[in-house]
Amino acid sequence: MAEPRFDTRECVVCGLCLEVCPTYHLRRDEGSGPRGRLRLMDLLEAGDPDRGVWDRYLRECVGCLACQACCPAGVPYGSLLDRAQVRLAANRRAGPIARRLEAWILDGLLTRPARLRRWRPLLAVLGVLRLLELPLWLGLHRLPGLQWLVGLRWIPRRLPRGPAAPPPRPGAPHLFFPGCVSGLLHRAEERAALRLLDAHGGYDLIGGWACCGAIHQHLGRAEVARDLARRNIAAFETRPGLIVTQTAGCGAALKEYARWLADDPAWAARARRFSERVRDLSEVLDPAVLAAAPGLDRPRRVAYDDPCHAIHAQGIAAGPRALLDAVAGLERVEMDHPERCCGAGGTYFLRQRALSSAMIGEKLAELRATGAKELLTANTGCRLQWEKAVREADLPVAVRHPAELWAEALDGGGKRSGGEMSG
Amino acid sequence: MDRRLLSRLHAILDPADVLAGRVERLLYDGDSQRLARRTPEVVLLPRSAEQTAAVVRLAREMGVPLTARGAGTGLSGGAVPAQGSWVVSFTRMRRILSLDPAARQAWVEPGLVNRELQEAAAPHGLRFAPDPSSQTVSTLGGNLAENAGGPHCFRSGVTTQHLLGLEIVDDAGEIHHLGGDWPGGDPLDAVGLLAGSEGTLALVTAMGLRLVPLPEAVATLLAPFAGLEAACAAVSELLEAGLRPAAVEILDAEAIRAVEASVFHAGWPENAEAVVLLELEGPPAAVAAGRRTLREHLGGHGALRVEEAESPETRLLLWRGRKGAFGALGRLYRDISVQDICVPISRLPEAVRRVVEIVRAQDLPVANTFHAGDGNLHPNIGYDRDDPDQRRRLHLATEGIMRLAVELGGTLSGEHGIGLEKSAWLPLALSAADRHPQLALKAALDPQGRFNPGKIFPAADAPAPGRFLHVLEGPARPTAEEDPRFHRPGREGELAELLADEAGRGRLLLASGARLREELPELPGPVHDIVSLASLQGILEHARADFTVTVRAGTPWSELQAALAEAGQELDWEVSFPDRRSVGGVVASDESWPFRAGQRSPRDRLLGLAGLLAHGEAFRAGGRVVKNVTGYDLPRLLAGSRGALAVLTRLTLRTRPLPEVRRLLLLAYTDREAAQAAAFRVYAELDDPAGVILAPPGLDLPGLPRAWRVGLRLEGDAVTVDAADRGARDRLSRAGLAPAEVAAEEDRAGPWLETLRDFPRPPRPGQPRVLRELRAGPRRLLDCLPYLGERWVLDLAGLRLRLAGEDGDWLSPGPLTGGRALERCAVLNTQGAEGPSRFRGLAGRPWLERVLHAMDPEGRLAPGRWLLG
Ligand SMILES: Cc1cc2nc3c(=O)[nH]c(=O)nc-3n(C[C@H](O)[C@H](O)[C@H](O)COP(=O)(O)OP(=O)(O)OC[C@H]3O[C@@H](n4cnc5c(N)ncnc54)[C@H](O)[C@@H]3O)c2cc1C
Ligand code: SF4
Ligand code: SF4
Repeated sequence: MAEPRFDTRECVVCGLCLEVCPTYHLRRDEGSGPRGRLRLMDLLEAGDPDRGVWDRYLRECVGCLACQACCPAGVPYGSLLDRAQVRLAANRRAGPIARRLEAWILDGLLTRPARLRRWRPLLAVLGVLRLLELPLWLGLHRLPGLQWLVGLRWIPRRLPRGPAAPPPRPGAPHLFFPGCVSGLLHRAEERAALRLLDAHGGYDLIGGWACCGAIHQHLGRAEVARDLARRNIAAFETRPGLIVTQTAGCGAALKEYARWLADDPAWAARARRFSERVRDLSEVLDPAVLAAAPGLDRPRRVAYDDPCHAIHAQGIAAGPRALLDAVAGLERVEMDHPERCCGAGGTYFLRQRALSSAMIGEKLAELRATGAKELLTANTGCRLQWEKAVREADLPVAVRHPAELWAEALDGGGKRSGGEMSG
Repeated sequence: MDRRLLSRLHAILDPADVLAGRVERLLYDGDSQRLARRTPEVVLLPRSAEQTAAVVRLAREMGVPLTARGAGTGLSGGAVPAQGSWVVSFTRMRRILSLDPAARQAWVEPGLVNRELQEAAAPHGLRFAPDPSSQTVSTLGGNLAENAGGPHCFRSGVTTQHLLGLEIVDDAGEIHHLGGDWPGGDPLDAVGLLAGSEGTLALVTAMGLRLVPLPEAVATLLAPFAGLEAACAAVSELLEAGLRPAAVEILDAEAIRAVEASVFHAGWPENAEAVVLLELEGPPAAVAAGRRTLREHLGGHGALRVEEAESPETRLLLWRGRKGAFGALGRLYRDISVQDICVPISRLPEAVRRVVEIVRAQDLPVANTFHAGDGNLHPNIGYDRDDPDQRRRLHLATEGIMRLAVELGGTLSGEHGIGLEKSAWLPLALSAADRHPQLALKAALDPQGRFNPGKIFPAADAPAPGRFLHVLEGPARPTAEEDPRFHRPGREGELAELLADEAGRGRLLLASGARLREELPELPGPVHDIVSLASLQGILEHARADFTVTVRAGTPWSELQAALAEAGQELDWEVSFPDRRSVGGVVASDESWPFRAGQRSPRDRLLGLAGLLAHGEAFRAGGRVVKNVTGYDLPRLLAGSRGALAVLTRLTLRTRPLPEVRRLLLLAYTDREAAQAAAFRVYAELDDPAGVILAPPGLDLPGLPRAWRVGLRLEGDAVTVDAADRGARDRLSRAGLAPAEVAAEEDRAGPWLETLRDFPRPPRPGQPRVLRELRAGPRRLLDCLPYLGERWVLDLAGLRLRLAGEDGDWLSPGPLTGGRALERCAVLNTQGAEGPSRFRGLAGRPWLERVLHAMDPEGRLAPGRWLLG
């Protein structure tokens, strides 16, 4: 297939993308759907003065890429959105404090994942003491530039680590790419991924890696994202093997490096080689291995929710299901629209709270209807979104990464190795 | 937009449902046809019929036009606002108001997306048959307004064939209810008139839809061909041979390449010049047999090979590819213009070849994906809208295609509508005389041109207020003593003169197919003159390969059927006393009895007609093709209009191959409850039986013991009929409803069929028979039964009940009479199938009156047929 052409003009306004779009589905007006947004991007490019409207509509896009995945004309919506985000970011009015804070978090804290992990014990203690929301009780989030503090509501109350992972094996075929937030908040899931890789030929870890840059890219900080990409490429170039992550958002970003750096002559080829080596965890696991494993000790009913960055960005949907179906003792049920966005969308849940909670609200109703006792999702943002929703709705459902379940099946275990259970 | 107006809009709608900003409005400047665009003054997204009505009233007060809009996926520019228009977008009116699986009906708001209805119906084993390729996004209101079709409409018919009723807002901002919970609910099919009217007559705010059972088994076949024309020829011959798959689609090489390069790639054979995609539906045994026959046929007609979708997933992928083809072509073409002509099926190969030539002659690329079974072509033409020369060449190519359609006896649009795009070419298909009744309707129903101006009709036709409304005094009504004169013109010209002359003298006429004065049915009201069309008879053309027949209205029904049978075809419905009926009479009274199932009725089979208006002006409507959205659907309106709108002189009807087997099963039950339950179950679950009826023991079927009888009519090839027969019996046994005894009759006209068909016979020869017809939804009909005595026959599939009895019986309350039943069941319409008609209690009456008035302003034709005040 030819390189995607980088032009809103590729859109033939057939409208086939309308209903897959979570915001159009809720709002049902043109500006809330991809077809309208593509037109708005043109206005943005053309420097249209009527900022208020296009700005609002474009910011309401979750970036779930459902539209791109279903577009028969091959409109590269994601790339176009990234470009628009850069312009939107440039247009943004924000106070100096807010800017500083944002830069500190995004360009500082988040770019050094190893350091980020050091916050874990503090968060864990606060969670147990139920003090996580202290800043909100104090009303700090009402101060200008601090609205993002409401994000504390999304931090799980318990941060289980899960069973220890087997050690890395130098020279193993898989190089593990650790996600920054997942390493901080969902250690059990990471350990489960390592356990699984160990059963598939082993894994190794390397130093010098950075955040994948997805968040930066989607917030219009393309240059920071490119820098992070270069750091990761350099770090992983030193060793052969597949680069594996269990987090759909990171995987999608890593696979996109080729595009991010396509116009950087020094890095384009290296980025392409890097991206070709990237795999989602579910892509390297073998259902036969799981089928041969002891399986679960008691039957469980689970529902798998497709992260947008797996199904739409990477085309991963059948794989995880096949792996789940290979597990003995597991009953997999489908929600009506597992492919529909849950509204997490990177930082979307913070930026567009009303839309985001309407989206997860619909999904929660679908989950209830299935009667599943575990909700599986393979992306950090989605997991946090689900965890919060399930907790607030007081649903007796555990939210987990499928890797945790697969790892349990390997070991014939049913003992809880992670996940949040409400109540 | 000015502040005061905006605040008035805000008083009607939630401010979030009013988009007045420049950028927001800009996004509503057109649909998927990209040539024409115009930004509306404001975009309104009502959430209820009341809000919609208030919007219309305000628009009327302000003198602004309104353009309705669904998802904006139209392909003829139907949703492009006119100068100064407000757009009324229905996307926020998207509730399912009710879904009754047992009655197989759903009432929905127009903004509901076609697929959402499918998703809601599927768990009940049902679907909404129209499946346009845009169904994942297009709205049911948009489907209605364009009379959308889809691949499976080959078997199941287009949108209009699945409509029960509508709620509309008229130009005065009044809400009306048309139709009901039974098909063809109103005597005048105004619901059918609105289907395909492209938003130019009213705004639709709710719709009642018929659902059909999901097929028991499906098979999907792919046959690659070395040439496009060869593929078309194979399809033409396949249909000619009487094969009837559920869907017959063709994609050419260019379209396949585009699909395969897109997200919808599904392993279409890429090396073929064309692929025929066929789907079979029905009982498993029938599908298996059909698959064999189709394979043989295709193999013998040039298919390189025949592949079959192995799994439901592959099948889904193939269909997604087919349905995404338009978008996929966006990879090859900068912009796409898709045409939509429909031609008689035998002309398909020629049409496709010449369309490609026409487009190539303009040096533009073209890809074809189309509903081959219906003769409905979709050349997708690639162009660049920023290049004026390409736009010019596109225009020439389009015009060439329009002319070709007309030359081949086809029509300009099969399912996308004329819209803005093709309005200038409408005169190619409809002359000024043909447009006259259409414009009269438009002028009567929307005198100020409020709804979607600029669509369908060329600009010069724009209704000048009052132009079509004759403000004449009503004709002199004859006194009761005056005996009407009887005329029997021998030529159409003579008839026209008579009408023109009568116009001068202001007299009333009744068109009739009766040959003699004595044969006339009871007169509906006083008339001066009676005109019989009995001398205007003869089959003008039986296009066997196209499955159409054109006849003069006075042709006797039985003669036509006999002639068709000789050629191996037929009209697929029955009428009472067929030897005494003319084709015109059958059509004008929309008679189909006792099996009005599916599309077995004049309304669904009348493709085109020629007629005379009240003053003798000749006009034509419709055509010779099975899908037609070229102007208003006058054939549908005129079928069943009982001569009150125009005199029908020639009719083109859709024929079909004679079925191999035709079986009438009569299942006996000892009590009403069981019989009723059995009938209801068969009605709700069987996929397209040819008829489901119920009769009480009071009906004497020769040679059969008296019992409650559920009648099941099955038609088709032997395998299908046997499978359906077994399937029905199995279902009933499983439900504990096994009949006490089963009798079967295989003739077209055996004694049992005749008894049912001619029910009720006149009490004495020479005396008029008295009957009434109740029409209602299945539940209400069944609710009536306990109060009806034993002289009736219920056509459950057609949702009607015929009741014999004296006129007095009918109206007086009493335990066993229809009058009581009426009260009890609140059935609104008590139109007589013969004899005087009543037309009362209909909520949509004022609107229907305007339809009548538009066509026959002085009430000259068939006066009293419709008692409209
Ligand atoms: C990819 C693609 C494939 C398609 N495939 C098919 C196909 O297979 N078969 C087919 O028939 N068509 C097809 N179409 C055309 C189009 O989808 C249909 O015409 C569809 O019915 C339009 O629905 P909509 O909701 O988009 O209506 P719109 O385009 O918004 O409006 C269409 C017309 O309906 C009127 N209208 C809408 N709602 C109302 C209402 N409530 N009351 C009164 N008037 C109303 C509008 O004024 C306008 O004239 C296709 C289009 C695309 C882009
Ligand atoms: S599906 Fe693609 S081509 Fe169609 S409207 Fe959406 S973005 Fe445009
Ligand atoms: S990325 Fe998601 S939210 Fe944004 S336009 Fe596409 S489908 Fe809609």
